[in-house]
Amino acid sequence: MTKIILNKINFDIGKKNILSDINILFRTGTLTGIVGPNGSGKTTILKIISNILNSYSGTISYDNLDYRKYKRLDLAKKISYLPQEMTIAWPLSVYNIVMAGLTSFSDMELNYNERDYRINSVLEELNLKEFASISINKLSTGERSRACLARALVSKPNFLLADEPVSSLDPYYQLNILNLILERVRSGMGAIIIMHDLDLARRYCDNIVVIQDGVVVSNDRPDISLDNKNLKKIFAVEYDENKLILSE
Amino acid sequence: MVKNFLFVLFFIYLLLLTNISNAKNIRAASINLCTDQYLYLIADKNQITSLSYMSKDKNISFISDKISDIILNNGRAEDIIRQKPDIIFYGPGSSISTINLLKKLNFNIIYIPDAKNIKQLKEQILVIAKLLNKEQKGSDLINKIDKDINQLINYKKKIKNKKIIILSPNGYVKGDDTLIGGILKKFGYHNVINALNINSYSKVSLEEILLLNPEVVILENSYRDSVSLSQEFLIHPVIKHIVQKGQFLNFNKKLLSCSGPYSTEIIRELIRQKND
Amino acid sequence: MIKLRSINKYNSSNYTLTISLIIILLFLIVASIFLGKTNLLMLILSEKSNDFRELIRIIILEIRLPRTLLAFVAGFSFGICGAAMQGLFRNPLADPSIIGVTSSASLGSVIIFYFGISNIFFFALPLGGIIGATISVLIIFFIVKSNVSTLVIILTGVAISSFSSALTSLTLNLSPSPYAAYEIMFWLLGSLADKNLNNVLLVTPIAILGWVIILLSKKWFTALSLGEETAQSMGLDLRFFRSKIIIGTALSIGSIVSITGGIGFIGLVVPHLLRPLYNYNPEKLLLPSGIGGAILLLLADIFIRILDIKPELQIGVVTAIIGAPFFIYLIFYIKRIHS
Repeated sequence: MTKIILNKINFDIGKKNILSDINILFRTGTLTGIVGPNGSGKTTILKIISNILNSYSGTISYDNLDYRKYKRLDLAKKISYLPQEMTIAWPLSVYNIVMAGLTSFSDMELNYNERDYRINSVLEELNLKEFASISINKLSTGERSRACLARALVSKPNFLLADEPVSSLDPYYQLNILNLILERVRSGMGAIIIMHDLDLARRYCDNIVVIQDGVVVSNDRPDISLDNKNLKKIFAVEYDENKLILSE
Repeated sequence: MVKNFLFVLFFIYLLLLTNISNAKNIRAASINLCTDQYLYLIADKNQITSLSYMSKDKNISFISDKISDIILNNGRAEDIIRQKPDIIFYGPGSSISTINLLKKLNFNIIYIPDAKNIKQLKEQILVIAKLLNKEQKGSDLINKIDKDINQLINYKKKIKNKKIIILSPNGYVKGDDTLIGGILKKFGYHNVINALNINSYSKVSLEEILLLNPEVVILENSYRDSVSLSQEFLIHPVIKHIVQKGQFLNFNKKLLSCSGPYSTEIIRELIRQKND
Repeated sequence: MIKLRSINKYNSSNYTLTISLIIILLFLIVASIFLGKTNLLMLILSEKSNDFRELIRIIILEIRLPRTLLAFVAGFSFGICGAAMQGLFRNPLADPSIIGVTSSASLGSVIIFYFGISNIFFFALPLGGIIGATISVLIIFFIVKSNVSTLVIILTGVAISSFSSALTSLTLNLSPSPYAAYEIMFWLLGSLADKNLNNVLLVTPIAILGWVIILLSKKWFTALSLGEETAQSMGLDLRFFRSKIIIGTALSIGSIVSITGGIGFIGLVVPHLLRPLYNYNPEKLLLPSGIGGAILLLLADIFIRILDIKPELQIGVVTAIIGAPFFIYLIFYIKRIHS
């Protein structure tokens, strides 16, 4: 089992404090949801863990070794980041997009055939084979999200970090994508996912981190993290027999 | 009878008077280098209100060291108007908008094109002399040019139809229909660019020059202390190769572009450089 | 075998096309040496005397070879740098001539050349171009940052272009040489004619160094097309990558423009035409764009040499006549895609 440990993370943009004193532990084999209102700093946490932002104070360790001691590329092979919005500059084919997910590997580490094999197997796993040569622009939103997920999974990462991967999708693809991620988690991958939909978060996550104004409010099992006390305080909603209602 | 005679006398007197006053009053400006030189040679100094600033440049002007007491203009209307000249001479290079403006302000402006040969040169001298009421000075100048040419014509016998090219920066060449081209032809040179059907003025490539295979190369060689792409053309390896094979003469730009009444200097320079 | 075929099918290395492009390029290089106002083959066949052999040697070595080599190196540089800039900005309009790199390279060269600095040390002229090009790319980056909106890029380019053109014109007017004032056209439109072989040989290795720098980091272009942050999460050191592409472009474009003047639009037209043939893959597009750029410039140059207009047309006139309408077409194309 591999761990990512955030220790006393603080992050500011200019004079504005975005995150303060974040201490979280993430494990492989676990699906962790991050929940919180807009602007609470969820995305920032994800970007820090995926090594996009590195002007934070505090330490992060991967496998008990400080992030700053890793080479960028080595960390990138182990952690995949799936941003919320995928604006792709050119109408690339699905195959090409998935192949881009292997950029961190040198030709020595993965030769052409091995790359092709990996790409084909992830396309098969995500049921994208028929779209391999088709331009991403021609796909539906749901299929496009699946292609982007394939790009993130093709490197066989130990951790997948996804920023609201299902929030703009039809119900079918919401479940479809979460199931695909869950399958990977069951076979050992760690996933850290920012969730918008509280019902889905309760259903899929093993653990939920609740964030408000850059501070961790709760980090526990879904039923504890998303208990009515927290929900009321943060979202002004509560559960009434498994139904979300506005709190009085 | 006497009355009539007196009347005629008075009339003649009036005519003379206007003529003399005219002669005194005609003052002229020039906004073009070529007309600057004409004006300097034909007009009296007090007739010149101003000459163009280019006449001060020793690389292109024969009169650069003789005009320290003459006002210079920058070729723009505002400069000229203040001096109230009776005539303004301009040439092919003058700004069209300046000319139109001067025309609109009712100035008497006279266009003097580039002389293409000695005959045109003489005609232009006569025209300008007449306008300035300096006919005598004009015909003296023409006589001097004729005398010069007659004196130099002996040189012609030594030339055996040599193939020549007159080369300026950036590959510009001059043909038989230019002052220098015409004079060289008159003295027995054969301009190689005739083969390209160029008579006056054009641009040729290195390759064309190489194939024309000239024996004598006249290089425009002014402004040696400055650099430009055009001048780089003249130091290209191909030009060096041609120059090594034949004979080459360095000519100041003033001999090539606006020699005008000083055109016989071209032959003098040719003789001087060949005798060196 | 089956595996390999599947790579060729989806992955965009269109080898057949690339090889065809190389063959066309080689053919054009030969044609460019032998075609021109004088028919070299006829000349070789008709005369055998020593004098003529010397003449042919000079025509080939001192006139045709520098011109052909320069057309090749310049075309390749404009093509590959166009594709690289477009990959970096993730925008098909980011061509060196449109974002003002060419005109500022012109300005740098003009300052060095007309004030005689190029005579002080032999490397000064291309260095001037390189510095000019670098400054303009840095300004664009400073303004554009990661907001890659087409409008911002074009407007910044227009501003940089007109500013450097104005300064170029000012420099030429202030130059001690009276011929300089008439050379503005050269610096704005470019020319390949009658260049000194030594100058061409001086800039060629610098331009090639630029290509190599760009090609060595090419694998990140596809990753970058998925977004800057995604690429960074894949291990891209964005700042280092940008610097490499900027340096590569500045070396190539800067040194070339110091000899040719500002030839425009090659880097806009060629990558756009080739992009669909390489499945829009920005890293696979780099090398073919270079080859395509060389082909286009050689073709344009052969065209103006065969065309019987006196004096010869300037090469930049031809590329602009092709390129400017293409640019307008591209603006509409982008508008259509975005809506």
